[in-house]
Amino acid sequence: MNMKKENKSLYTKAVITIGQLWENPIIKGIILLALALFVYFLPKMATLYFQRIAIMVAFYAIGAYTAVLLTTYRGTNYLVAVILGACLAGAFGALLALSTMRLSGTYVTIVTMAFFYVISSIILNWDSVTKGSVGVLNIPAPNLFGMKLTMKNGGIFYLIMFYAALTILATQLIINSKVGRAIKAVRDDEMAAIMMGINNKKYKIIAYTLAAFFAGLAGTLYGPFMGYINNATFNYDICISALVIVILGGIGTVKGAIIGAIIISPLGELLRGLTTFMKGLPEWMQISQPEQWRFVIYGMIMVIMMRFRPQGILGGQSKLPYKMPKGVERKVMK
Amino acid sequence: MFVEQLINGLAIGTIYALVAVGYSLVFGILRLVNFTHSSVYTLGAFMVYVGVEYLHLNIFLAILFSLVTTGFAGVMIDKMGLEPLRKKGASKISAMITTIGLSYIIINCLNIAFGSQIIRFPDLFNYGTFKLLGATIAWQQVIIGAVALILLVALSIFINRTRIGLAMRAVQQEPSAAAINGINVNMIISLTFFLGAASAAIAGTLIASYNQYLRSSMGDIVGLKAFAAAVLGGIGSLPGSVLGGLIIGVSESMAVYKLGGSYIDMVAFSLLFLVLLIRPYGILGRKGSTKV
Amino acid sequence: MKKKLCMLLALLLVVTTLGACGNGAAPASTASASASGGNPTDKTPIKVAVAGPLTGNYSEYGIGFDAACKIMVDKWNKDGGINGRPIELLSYDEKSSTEEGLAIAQLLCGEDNFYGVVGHFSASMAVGTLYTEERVPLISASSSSAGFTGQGDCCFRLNATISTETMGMLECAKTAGKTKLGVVYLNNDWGRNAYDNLKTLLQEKGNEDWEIVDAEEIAGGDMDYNAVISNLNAAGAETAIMFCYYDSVVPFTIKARTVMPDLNIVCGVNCYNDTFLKVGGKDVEGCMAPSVFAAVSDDPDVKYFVDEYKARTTQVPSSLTAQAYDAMGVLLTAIAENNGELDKEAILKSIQNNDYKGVTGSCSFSENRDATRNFSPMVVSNGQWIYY
Repeated sequence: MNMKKENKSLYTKAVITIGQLWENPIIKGIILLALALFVYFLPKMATLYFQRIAIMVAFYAIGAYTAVLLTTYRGTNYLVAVILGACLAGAFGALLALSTMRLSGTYVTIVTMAFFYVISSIILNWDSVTKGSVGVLNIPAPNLFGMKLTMKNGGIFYLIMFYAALTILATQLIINSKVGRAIKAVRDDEMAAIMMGINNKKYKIIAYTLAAFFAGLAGTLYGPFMGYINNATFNYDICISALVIVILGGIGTVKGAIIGAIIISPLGELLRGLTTFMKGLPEWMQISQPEQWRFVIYGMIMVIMMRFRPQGILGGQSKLPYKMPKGVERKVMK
Repeated sequence: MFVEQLINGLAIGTIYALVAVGYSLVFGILRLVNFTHSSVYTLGAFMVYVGVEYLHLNIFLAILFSLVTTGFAGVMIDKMGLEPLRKKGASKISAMITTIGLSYIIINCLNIAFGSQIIRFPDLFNYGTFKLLGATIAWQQVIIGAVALILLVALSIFINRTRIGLAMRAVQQEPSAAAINGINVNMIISLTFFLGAASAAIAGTLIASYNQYLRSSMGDIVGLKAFAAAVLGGIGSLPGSVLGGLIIGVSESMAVYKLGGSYIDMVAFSLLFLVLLIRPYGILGRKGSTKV
Repeated sequence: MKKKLCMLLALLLVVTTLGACGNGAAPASTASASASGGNPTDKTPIKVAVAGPLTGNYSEYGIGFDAACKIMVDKWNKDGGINGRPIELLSYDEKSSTEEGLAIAQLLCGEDNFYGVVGHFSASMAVGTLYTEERVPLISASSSSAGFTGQGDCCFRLNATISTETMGMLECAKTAGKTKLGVVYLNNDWGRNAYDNLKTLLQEKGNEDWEIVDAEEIAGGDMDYNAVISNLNAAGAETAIMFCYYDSVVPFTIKARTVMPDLNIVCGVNCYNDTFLKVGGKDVEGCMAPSVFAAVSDDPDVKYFVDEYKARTTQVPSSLTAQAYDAMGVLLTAIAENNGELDKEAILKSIQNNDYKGVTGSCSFSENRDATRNFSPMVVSNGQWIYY
């Protein structure tokens, strides 16, 4: 009996322990958060920094499908598949950047959206390769240097953590580099950036490619994590919940995405807990299916945040001195 | 067969056009993609249902009731959600996210109130079928097409021939100059929202009665398609929206005819993608000037 | 500052999660030791779960599963539970989403005193492996995908496989004497599998009784069905075989009545429900479906279930709902058979070898853990499903 329990996944153990200690839906929610945060929002953390609102799910899907199809049907090494998936997503990002070069503002959003629908339609209809709506079953666990990383031994979670750390680190490095500053300049005020002699086209392409690369990288995690993907996995609702999260935390910052996810992810669990809680109340106080209110709350968060704190709850202007690249001196004018 | 599919496409295309006009009107004035539009479309259909089912109104009174309430809801969306943002001088993206949020609220409230399942809707004009060039055509297709067309013509006369329409066009071109000339810009914006919402409500009612059912998710796909239609034709241009709507409608029924039903979304959005690559401002759209 | 805070948060998250994982072992094992003893004075509830889409596009099915399982559990609790221990039903909303279903499965696998799940709808193809790893029996009342039971030896299917259901639908078409088939199938795994299956079936049978004149793939939901109907009409279809859910069948039927009044519409088991009849109204009159369950039956068990279900939900139970009711019955019976020993392997064995007779007939499982189902053709008449 003990042996069997010992085999339980680390994740399950965590749920059990915490469940026993507090019997609290919030705590359970925080565990779910770990899943949600890294699987859904990792790409957004990286990507929203580069492009304010871009629907990155398309790239996410490209990464996920490339990796899954290669490992499942070709037996490709996991690492190779991951790199190929991320690179393919990056290539599509560059392609999209090139094709939207003549567009501005709202039209970029529109084309990105159309791109998303075209990609998901291809996934659905090119079923000889993608398996369409039937989906890819029995996705093998990632095999790293002879070690199988599964849900059971908790390996997947370490892998997700590793990816998260890697992405955050890489994003920070890029943001503080010359390329990062140029991207930021183009993002904040394209006209001014052009005046300063920044090649806006070049940096737009770089930004898209990087964003798509990270989204694709995160996507490669999805398949082995879920064990099953099909065309419906990557849908518009994912975009919305990601949007709520970054808005709450603050658009365009890594920190914002993390904070947003910490607050939003347990919401579903919390409302689920509310159902149980309300059973004890008199009838007139009961609301049927309080979980449905989750989406109303999402909507309210968007509206209220935009009205009162468009920079996010912890957002705001950084009071720190701007970090100068090497060789540049700060002279204080008196 | 071809004629039949063409008629199918044109019938649904006029509905897309009617919804697309709403996107276009608001975009023309505020340069804003109004994502609440698809939920207002749903709301319009539900209001007719409420009128008939709960208020026991005659169907025409119910439609009138829906027009007024939905139009008013459109005005409220602007007054409560968007006007404060304009006053604050918030960014375009904030306004867009606000509309996404509002549309989420509306749809999910409908969902809570009426459930997500399909609900039967009264059939307004089922007069059977007739034969034309060997094709079987339902009268309701002809009627919804005609009603939508009449409305579109009326709307375009209103915008191009009346004083209020003139004021709308003035605000569209340059809000501050319009204000200097004594036009109440906020009133015009509210009116635009009212018109957009009312036309969406009619479109919603037409579709609901065409399909004879409604549900809270009915606006999702139509909203997206109509939006694609508006952009395809050139967002901000009324004839452009109509053209876009008809193109998308016909290309969809042709997709079903030649390729199969699951290519529906792909055709509409691939078309949009391609058109924007060649003509970045849509088929009949004009390039706006960039203000520095 | 910004950077530091961000790093700190990431670190914090990693540490908390790791910490939680590390501490997991001790309390978990002590709890299980006390739980598994067959002490007769033990009043700890025996937990079973039902998972299904209570919200979203497929909420109809989930709500039915939920209500049916509650009726079954209440019935058992009224009779004193299992070995004096009460049964607690955990109910989860899958929200018509695969991810949500998987998250629920993970939560459930962490429960103590937990012995089985009935249901799963959208996620049934994703959760099977996990339940098998954790040795939790899963009885699906709705899955018809060929691969479902192949996920592991804990996955049981109390629903017809696609080929059985398709055969039932073909029989319906034959009974009505309209054998020129126009197939309308949903572009999801079920719809496409079903259509492929139909083609194989007809090939095996030498294609003598039926003929496919047209096949239309549809996107489902709120699409305009006129284009599809025009195609069927041009191909001269007499019977439309509908491999889609009722939310597509009803709109299709309404449209078809105008253009093709004589079309015989045969739908799948999933259309045997109240909403289908209510929304379809006069237009679905004459629609046919094969069913394992008939609410009009005189059987006392069926009557009890139908009356109880009507009292709670004001609706007549659907065919899939009835299967969920039986699935819960099978599960609880299997647990009760091992009353002293709540050993999961023994329970699995009992489910496999059950001779339970439920409202949908015999529920015995084949070696592949698929239930044998016997269909009879049903037809809508006067707003009710009756035997054809």
